[in-house]
Amino acid sequence: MSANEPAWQEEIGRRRALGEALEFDPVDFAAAVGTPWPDASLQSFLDKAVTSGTLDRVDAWRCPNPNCRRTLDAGMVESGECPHCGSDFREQGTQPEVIVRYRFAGEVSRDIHWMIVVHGMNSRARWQEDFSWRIANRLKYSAPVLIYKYGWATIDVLVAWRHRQLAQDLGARIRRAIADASEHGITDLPDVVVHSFGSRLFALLLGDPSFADLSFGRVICAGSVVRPDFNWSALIEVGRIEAVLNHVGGNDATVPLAQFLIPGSGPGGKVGYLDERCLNVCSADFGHSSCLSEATMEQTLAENGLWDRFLRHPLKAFSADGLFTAQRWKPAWAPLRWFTRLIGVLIFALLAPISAVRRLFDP
Amino acid sequence: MVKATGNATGNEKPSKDDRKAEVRQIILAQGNDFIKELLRAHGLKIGANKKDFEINLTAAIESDALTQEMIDAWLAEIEGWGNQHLYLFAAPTIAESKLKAQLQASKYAALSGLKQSYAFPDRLTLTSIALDGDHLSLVWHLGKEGWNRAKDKDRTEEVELERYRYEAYRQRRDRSTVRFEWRFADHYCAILIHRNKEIDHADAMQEIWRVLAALGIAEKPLATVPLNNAVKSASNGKSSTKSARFEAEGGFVELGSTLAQGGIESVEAVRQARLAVNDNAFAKAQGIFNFTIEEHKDLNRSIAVQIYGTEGRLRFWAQCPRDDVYRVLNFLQQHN
Repeated sequence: MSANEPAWQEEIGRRRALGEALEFDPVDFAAAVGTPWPDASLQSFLDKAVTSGTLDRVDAWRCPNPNCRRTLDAGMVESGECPHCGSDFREQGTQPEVIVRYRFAGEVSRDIHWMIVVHGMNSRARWQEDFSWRIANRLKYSAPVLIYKYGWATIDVLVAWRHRQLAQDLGARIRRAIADASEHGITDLPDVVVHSFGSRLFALLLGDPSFADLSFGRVICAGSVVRPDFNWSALIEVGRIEAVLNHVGGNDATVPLAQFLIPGSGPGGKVGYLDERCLNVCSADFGHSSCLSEATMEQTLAENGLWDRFLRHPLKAFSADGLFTAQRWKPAWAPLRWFTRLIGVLIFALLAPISAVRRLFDP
Repeated sequence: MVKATGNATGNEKPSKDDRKAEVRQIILAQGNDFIKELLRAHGLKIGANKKDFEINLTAAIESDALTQEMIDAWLAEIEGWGNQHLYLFAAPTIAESKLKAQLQASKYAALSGLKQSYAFPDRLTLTSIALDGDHLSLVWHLGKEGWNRAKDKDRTEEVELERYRYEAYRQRRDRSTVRFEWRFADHYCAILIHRNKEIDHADAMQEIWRVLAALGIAEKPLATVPLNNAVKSASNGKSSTKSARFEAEGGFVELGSTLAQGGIESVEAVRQARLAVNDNAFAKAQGIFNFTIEEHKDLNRSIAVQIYGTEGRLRFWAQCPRDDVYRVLNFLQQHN
């Protein structure tokens, strides 16, 4: 075995994780790993990889015109003509050059086409603007971000009927946004970032049959108050969503309280999601909204940052510090939850008129 | 695909006698030049005249040096689909029910229902018309010359004080077919022109429009069906894209992939450059697309198709069955 083999293997692993350059010219590969080409040991490594099935050998052709040199397929060679430069091989007395390339099985990286961000309760959610700004600067093409705001929700979270109302408003807005994006040529699914109570609304929306026509790309939950036993797999199975990253805060003191006051909620953002198809990643020192601070987003949305990798890279090779599998979770003792929620309902009833008046001036 | 003549039916393989009869028919209908190409392509003895050709061909068949597959492939090259240019036009407005009567009343009535023609005249000539309940097909044949570089025949010559270099080309005779195809269920019809570069497409179209007018199918040339939107959509992740070019007044953007398998959608940097292109700002679009059997399961083989959006023209870069051509057209119409 060549001393360089681990480095070559590492390069293949790197490409697989990034979903880039899955097919390569051995000359380019050699340049990437700093091995002068031709190199007998690298050639032997590639041959062995082909024999073992790790790599596929791809036989192709190249246009003999020195000013073209584009890759040709079998049909083009049979036709005796290069579609790129128009060279007629018979008339010029030339032959397409046979070339060998290699390809390993793997998923290609994906793009962010557009996004939806939904904030949490009791918040002006300045992070949404910061998020949108960073995405716009990070990508060199246009990927619109729908900043969804449902107002400064306070006591609204205490009663289930308000959740449903807010989820329906969210669904209606997203449906309009999808139609609008489609009209402008963006037919790809939107990726989603939801925070805190926004995650509850999004989960409700996914479960609402009247919005079964809405599908989404990859979903990031931060400070989630969705129950840990929420069935994400069923949604992934039918193509309603592509994948879920649950960014858990190890020091999140808010999320554990959710189930006592917010009907239908749970500490998904602390315990993690039990669903094995979800990716739970814990940042041990993060509080409830640490994911959304400017400093954190600068890191997570930077190239190869946690969120960037989740949104763009193949998931099969996804890895992250703090990646964990949630083991088990049971809701708190039911009478206790009923009692605290009853208090919540009473608070709502008491403060609803004040809240309604307040929303007139500050929706 | 042209079926072999003779007694063979269904999947039964034609006998050597069937094959000989077919070859004889080809020889009678075509000049020496065309036959040379078949023999040369398979490294078979050519001979000096048509009689020699027939003897050599018969011997080749007897010894299985020339198989039915080779003859089929040779005929498919001429009569088959794919490996040609295809122009899309709006379907004629004439009622299909009137076609039969108009055809019978025309001077082309005798061509209706004629089978395979092996003739390749020097001028584009209508040789057969097929009309059934769901489609109309008109076929023209044409023989053309081309020139293959023959470097081994190059020579230099000194004349007085000057030295001259002569570069040799060997004449090649190409067999070409031109078609007009209209499936009544489609809102488009198509003109297919063999890939031979010597064929003047404008001249060929003029002849087709003349015949269609004489048949009362289209009084004047039908409107082109532009495919700019199909190119824009297909190059935006809907199909594997080898290259795409978007033209605005005064400039263009061109994107391409050098991969043997996969297109710009497999190259992140190029794919993202594609996302940055504002489709609405570019009136014209063209590209080369890979219709692979992995992505398009109903195709018989993977085909590269070059699309010139504004001209409504497609160039198929592989021989393929008629159904594959229509599958590609259906896909493009969905995205147009």
